[in-house]
Amino acid sequence: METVRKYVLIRLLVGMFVLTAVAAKCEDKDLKKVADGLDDTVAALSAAQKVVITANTPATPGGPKLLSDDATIKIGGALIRVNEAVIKGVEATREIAKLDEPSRQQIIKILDPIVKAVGDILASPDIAGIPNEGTRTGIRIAIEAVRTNLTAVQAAIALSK
Amino acid sequence: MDQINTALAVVNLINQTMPIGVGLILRFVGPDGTETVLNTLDRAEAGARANIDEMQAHINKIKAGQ
Repeated sequence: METVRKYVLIRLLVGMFVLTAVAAKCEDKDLKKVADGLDDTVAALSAAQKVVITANTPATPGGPKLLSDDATIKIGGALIRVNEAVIKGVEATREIAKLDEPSRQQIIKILDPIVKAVGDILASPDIAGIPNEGTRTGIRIAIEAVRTNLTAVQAAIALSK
Repeated sequence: MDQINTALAVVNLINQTMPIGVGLILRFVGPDGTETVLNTLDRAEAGARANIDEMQAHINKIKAGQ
């Protein structure tokens, strides 16, 4: 009877140990900030794309477009590349269990070119050349929001040291 | 003896299934009740892929019309 009690106790302790190990593996606050930042960046990219698509869509069939087809293709193509880079950032972050120095460097290496790419879109003649001031400002603000979110991810990584 | 066997069977069942069940729950809800890193990353990836599809579809539409 004593042996059975010990057996039951040991099995329960093993079960609790496995539970604790699973719970501990799942969360890292700094990593969550990075994940949230990437998620917010995707939302900002979605909003920016909608502004671009709306500006390229005439209010009435056959009517004038606030953003030309050529500029839409260039800006839209650049936004697609930023989305692709964010996916790479997500994939890299998914492989990380804790935000230590090597993984921090790994994410920085992925994020830096994305931030630069967004900066390049903002500085491009495709944006500066948009004739309608309201459209130009709207697109600039929407893409600037993408950069702000990416900067927040970079800040989360820097502050996690 | 039958009661001991039943108790052992129940303990064994709990030990074997509990970590899997809790692991699945923690995949989406963290120990403190918040969303997990993996769930957030899954949503971000799905959103980015949807963004690409949306933008690409619009670009294709423009090119088809040109």
